[in-house]
Amino acid sequence: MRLLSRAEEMVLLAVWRLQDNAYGVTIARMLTETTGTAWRLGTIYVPLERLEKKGFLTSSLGNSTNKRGGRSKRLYRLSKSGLNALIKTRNTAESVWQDVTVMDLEEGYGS
Amino acid sequence: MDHRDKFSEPSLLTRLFIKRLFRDDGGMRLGDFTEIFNDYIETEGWFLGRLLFYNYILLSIPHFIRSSILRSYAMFRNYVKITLRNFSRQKAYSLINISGLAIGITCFIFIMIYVKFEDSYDGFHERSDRIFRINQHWEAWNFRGSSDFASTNGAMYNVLTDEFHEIEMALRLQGVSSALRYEENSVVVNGIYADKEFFNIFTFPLVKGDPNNTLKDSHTMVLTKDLAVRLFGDEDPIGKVVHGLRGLAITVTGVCENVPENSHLYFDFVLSFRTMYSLRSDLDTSWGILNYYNYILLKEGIRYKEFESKLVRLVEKYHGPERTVRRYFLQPVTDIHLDSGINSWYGNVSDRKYIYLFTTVAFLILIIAGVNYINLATSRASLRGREVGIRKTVGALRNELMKQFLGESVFLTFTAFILSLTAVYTIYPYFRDFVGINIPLDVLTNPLSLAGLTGLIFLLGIISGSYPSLLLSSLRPVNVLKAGSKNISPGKRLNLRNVLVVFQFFVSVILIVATIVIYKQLSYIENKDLGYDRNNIITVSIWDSNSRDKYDVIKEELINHRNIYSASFSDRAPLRASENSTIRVIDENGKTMRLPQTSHFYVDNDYVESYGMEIITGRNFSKEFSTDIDKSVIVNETVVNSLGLENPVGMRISTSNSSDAIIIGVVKDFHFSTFDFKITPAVFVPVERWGRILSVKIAGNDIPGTVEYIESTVKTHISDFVFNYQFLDDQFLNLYSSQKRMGSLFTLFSVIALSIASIGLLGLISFIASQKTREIGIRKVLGASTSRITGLVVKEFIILVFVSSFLALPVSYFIMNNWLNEFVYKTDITIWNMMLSALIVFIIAALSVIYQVLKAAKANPVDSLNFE
Repeated sequence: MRLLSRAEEMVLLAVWRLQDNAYGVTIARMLTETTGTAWRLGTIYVPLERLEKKGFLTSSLGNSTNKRGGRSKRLYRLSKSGLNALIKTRNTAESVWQDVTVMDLEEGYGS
Repeated sequence: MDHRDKFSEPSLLTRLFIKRLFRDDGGMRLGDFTEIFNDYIETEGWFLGRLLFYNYILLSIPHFIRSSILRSYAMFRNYVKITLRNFSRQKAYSLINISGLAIGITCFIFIMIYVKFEDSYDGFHERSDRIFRINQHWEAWNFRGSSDFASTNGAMYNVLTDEFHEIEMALRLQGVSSALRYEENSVVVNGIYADKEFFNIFTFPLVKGDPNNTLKDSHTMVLTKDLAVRLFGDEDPIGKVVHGLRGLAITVTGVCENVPENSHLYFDFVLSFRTMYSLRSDLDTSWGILNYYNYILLKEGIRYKEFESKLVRLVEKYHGPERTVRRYFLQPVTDIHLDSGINSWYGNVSDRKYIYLFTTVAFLILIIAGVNYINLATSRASLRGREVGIRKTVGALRNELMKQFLGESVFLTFTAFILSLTAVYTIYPYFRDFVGINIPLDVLTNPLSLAGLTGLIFLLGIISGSYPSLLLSSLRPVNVLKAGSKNISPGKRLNLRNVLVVFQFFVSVILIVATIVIYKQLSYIENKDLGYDRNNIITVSIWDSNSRDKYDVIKEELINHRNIYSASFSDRAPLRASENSTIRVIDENGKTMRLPQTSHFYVDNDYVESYGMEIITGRNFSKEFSTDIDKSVIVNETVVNSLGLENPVGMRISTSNSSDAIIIGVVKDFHFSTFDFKITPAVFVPVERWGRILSVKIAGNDIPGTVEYIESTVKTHISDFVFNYQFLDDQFLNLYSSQKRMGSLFTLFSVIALSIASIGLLGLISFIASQKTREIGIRKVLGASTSRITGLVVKEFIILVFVSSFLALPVSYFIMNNWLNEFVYKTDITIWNMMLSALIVFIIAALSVIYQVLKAAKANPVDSLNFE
């Protein structure tokens, strides 16, 4: 399995954290809050599509609110393979980072 | 915020935009956006909320598109790979396609460069949108089929700015050519007389001198940079005195930049108009003459069409009784160059018709090149069948396949485009020489026209790729993937190919007929009996009017040379008529007949002999009759015929020169105008010691020696003489230079069109021959001869060429007959000319076909049948 891209990884994590309330607006908002940079709807739609196609996410129609003009939400859930992908990505990242401290990095830069 | 449910919706347009752009699935994405929208409105209020929301959408777009493109990139890469593979696998085919397109596009670019140049005339004046020439419509005179005249009087200048507050500035000008001399440097150059506003109205930047003062005084002039160098070298010309026409001493007050090529005014110097006052006394009073050109600069914001109607005041006030026959009108300065319908004796004027003609030809050539692509791509469809079948089986949509094939054709056209850009840069210097004008290459440097060109090439790619892509993407996988089905034959639709081949040769035949007819007419003109002999005549301009008493001596000395037959002083060569006025002839019964617009030639006794004209009745002027000067006139045949004179010799006649003369002879009609016009009435008025040119009839051998002798002879008698001679023959051909240039351009274009069409045919045939390898092999095994097989394949194309000729010949006859009708004296189009054109196309088509077919037909059947 190929590794997830950084954007995919973040979107997957956001979906997992939001549990039953993961749809466009909430995902974008959560990512904006956690990363500190602006994630807009346009930014997340394509990763969402791609993740769903790969089978990492499943989606279903959710309830609608007045605020949405009566339109329903597309709610996303993490699938089993999505979870595996997240775990694998994290493990890989950790093994790459193993034994590297911030101090090491700064020294390497200085020389 | 008076919504019942407290929530609002983005505007309809915004909703549509979001749905379209973010590929909405069932409104859920729009829902997301609506939520964001309401969040903003809640927190930021109605107005700011909306603004922030729009900002949000805008910032969303780039991300979305970028990530979408990344996704489709993989597919795109595959298409590029396939295109390049096809490209290298079928080198000959790609070469034919690209070279045809590249030749076509190159040709198109050159024509556009030319057309754009012709269209750019006088656009360089900073206020070109406010500069107009005052022309007049004067019904009393019809010259060359038009009563519109660019020339007007010299008097209106004084009243224009006072009468009309809309006019900011006005000026008069008149063309002049003159010999100029400074110390030992002398030149003969063209110039203009112009009023002091000249450098304020027109944009001819002054290098030296003050635009407000340079032309203020009498006897002052401005030189162009080039002329300043020719006369003064490195010296500063300002304040120096130049000796010019009629012995005038003129002070140089300024130097201006050289005149741009695309200016309808051409000059090497500008002489102050006030100088004219020392030569003519009636300038401010004579409203009736047509010698000057009046230009005005309108104030800003004035609509010229509205203003134009006020010019009637000029007629009412100053022309009085002529109100019904005279009308003044304005012409924007940028229109002057291409409007040949207005009679004008000065200014660089061309014809809009040629521009349209060339543009049409340019597009035709482009279309022929595009047709090549369509033909070759559709006939190759069978080779791509399998690819299409597999792509479709794997899940490609028709839509995507179409995009792929369109992309391929666009790619191919752009490859050709880049090649042709290189070609344009390489050929450009030769093109400039060929056209004879220093045309700027700004089509390729100006971003706007380059963008337009790129757009056009893109369109060409799309259009020529659309049919092949429709055809290819419509193939059904079941048919094309079936084992051994090599022939996809999409039924009768392939007949479009035949239609297109017919179209290509249709256009080629028309272009060739046009070329042949143009050439025939040109050689007709060159060889037509003019009524005089234009060979071996040298004309020398005489500018100095103080030496007239030397004329007889000069003539005598000249004739003494063994290579000089005859010499004559006159006001002009019989090349063009300029002065027209009414003559009156009184017949034996005392009846007076008027003949308007008769050309007056002021000649001496030797004119008729020098030009080899023929006196058909009566006699020539002669020294023997002392009464000849002022008292005798020779008329041309047209005068006799128009008035129906039975016995013209001896009749009394009054001309603009003398009111009481006698017709002493009739000269055979001669052409003194271009062949577009009928020979008009003309009279020879004898003058003693008067004339601006010396015409010398010489022998054909040792011409340089004779010319040298003429120069030295004239120089011994006329001091400060600038020797400037021309062969009459050259001047004559100059009159037709624009037609000649058109003729050679046309030949070039038809050769190119025909070669592109033949390249296409070559590709088509070689493909078809290769498709028929097995058929030919089997036929040969069964005993068919090479020639029979050749005939079999060739037959089809012979029929196509035949059909196109059959269609094209009547059309081209019609077009060219129309063109010829513009000439009064013209050649005719014979059936043989038409047949010749068809034959040329036929031979070229046959040549490109036969080689390929012969190769296939001669091949050993063992090889071809072993093929699979």
